[in-house]
Amino acid sequence: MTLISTQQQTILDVDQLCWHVQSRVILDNISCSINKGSFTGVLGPNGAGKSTLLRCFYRYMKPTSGVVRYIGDDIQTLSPTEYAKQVAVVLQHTPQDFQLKVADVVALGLTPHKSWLSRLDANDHAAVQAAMTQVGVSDKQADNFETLSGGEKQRVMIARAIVQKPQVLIMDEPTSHLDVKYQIQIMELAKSLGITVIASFHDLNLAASMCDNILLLKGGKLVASGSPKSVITEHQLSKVFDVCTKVSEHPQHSAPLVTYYYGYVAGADHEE
Amino acid sequence: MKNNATKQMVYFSVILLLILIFSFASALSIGAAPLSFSQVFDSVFGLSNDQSSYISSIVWDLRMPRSLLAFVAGCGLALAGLILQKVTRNPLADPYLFGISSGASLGVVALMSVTSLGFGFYLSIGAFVGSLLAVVMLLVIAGHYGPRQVENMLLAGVALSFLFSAFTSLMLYWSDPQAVTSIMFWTLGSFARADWQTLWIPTTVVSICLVFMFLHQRQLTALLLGDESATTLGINVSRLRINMLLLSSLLTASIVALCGGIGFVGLMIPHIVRYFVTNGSRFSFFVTAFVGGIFMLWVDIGSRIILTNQELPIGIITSAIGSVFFLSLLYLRKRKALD
Repeated sequence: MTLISTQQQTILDVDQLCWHVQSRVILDNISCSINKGSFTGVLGPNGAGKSTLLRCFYRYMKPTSGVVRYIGDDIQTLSPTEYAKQVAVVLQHTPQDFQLKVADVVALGLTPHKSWLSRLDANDHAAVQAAMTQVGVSDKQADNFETLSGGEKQRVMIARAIVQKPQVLIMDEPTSHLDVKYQIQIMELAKSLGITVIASFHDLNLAASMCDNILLLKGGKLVASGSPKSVITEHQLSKVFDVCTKVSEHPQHSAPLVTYYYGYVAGADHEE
Repeated sequence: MKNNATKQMVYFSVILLLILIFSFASALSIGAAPLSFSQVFDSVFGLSNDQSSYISSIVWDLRMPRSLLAFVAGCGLALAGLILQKVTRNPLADPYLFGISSGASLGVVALMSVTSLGFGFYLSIGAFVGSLLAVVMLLVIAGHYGPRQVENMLLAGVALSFLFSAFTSLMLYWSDPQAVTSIMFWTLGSFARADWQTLWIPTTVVSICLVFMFLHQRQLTALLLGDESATTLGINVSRLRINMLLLSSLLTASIVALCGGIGFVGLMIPHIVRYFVTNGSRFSFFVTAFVGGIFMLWVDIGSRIILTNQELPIGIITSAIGSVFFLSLLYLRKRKALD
């Protein structure tokens, strides 16, 4: 009984969220809820509002109207450090040239847990080491962050998020610019953490095989949400992405598998 | 692993401390009237019985306050540069780039040309008011928080810097030649005006800044990852940046007020220290401040002995060393890129 209720527990609840910049509407009345422990993918074409939606989730942007609730509390009412202990974020880009060692970057994840004067103790160092081992960068810990490859950098950022001990991990296009191996590796790593993950994707097949739940955005509106099977359909993809596709079953896990057709005029009728 | 790093840090601190003691001893003994280390030692610790009053007055009344001011000014300028470089993530940021120094100059020049007051406490107030004016204008123009806060601040800083320089030049143009000479001398920087009565001001400000930065070191390091990442670590980025900006302007103002314009130190010292101590270290603030102080002690020694019977302004030496430093940095990087 309790098991079922925790599985169904809503961790993030979005209620009529709008975000405007001057008169332009970037997010238009979005309502959805994200279950605890689920893996949610945010999909949509460029400019659909994916990043803005995630930014509202991690409080980098304040909604023009509407509320985001974390386990019932409006996130704007929580203190920044309290919220940072619950929600960790991995972004697509990090600034260059800050001359930090890999271990230093990972240790920054402890920031919300540390008061002004406290030093890192043995437990903290152990946590940093464990996180680096978990993502497979412990042999690089004394290297400069800049010298790492794109995939390694993202793994370091995930290690930093692990050290933050969050309940929710938000990732904004963490796999763009990475080659296929790392795209799969990063997402499987995130899934293996066993916490709630919300990530935006460009690769529909990767999203289909990783996510339990998908939010499909277009023009700032939530077009569809639900399981990959219910959202990733030929009809929706044609409507939202303006592409012609065939959706079949993946031979390994029967998640939707998208095959694209080429040479079709956008918006024209098509046969399968 | 961590023990090793701590051990390294201890060795490093000991070496730094020895260099500091040697530098101070040199600063007290080198000058127009050379003293031996043992004379300086005896005078400082009051060991000599037949203490001739002239040695003790050279050490205590002239060289000690001057060297302390040089050290504190070096600490403060290096710290101000480090703060600005950290909060803007721009390795070229320093008090000059933000118009803080030119604001201070404007304050001094305005006061000198309007009231024709000589050197003294009033000028410090003028410098202080000028640099605070610069920071307030900077915050009004570019202080509102947004995705481009850093870029806006840098642009506004450069613009303000030119604006203040224009006003300063205009006032100099209208002033009488005698005032122009003394203003000119002031803007080149000197520690000759050091005395025990005013020394506490920069010392207090630098100490407060060191403590404040030490308390916020984790947040400052996190800021290096970018505003967005820092926000997700629970940091109020905008408030931290504005506090730090105010702090560095306070540092600059209190030092410029007493010593005049001293360029390149804020830019150069953090660069040098970064070769030895990573940005992630808890001690990088202290090391930067110490290295800045030691550097300034030697610049002051140089200013006293390079020309016979005459003092070379500090600003000339720091700018010369600074430009050579950056040119060699460029050359070394080019060589490294070719290898």
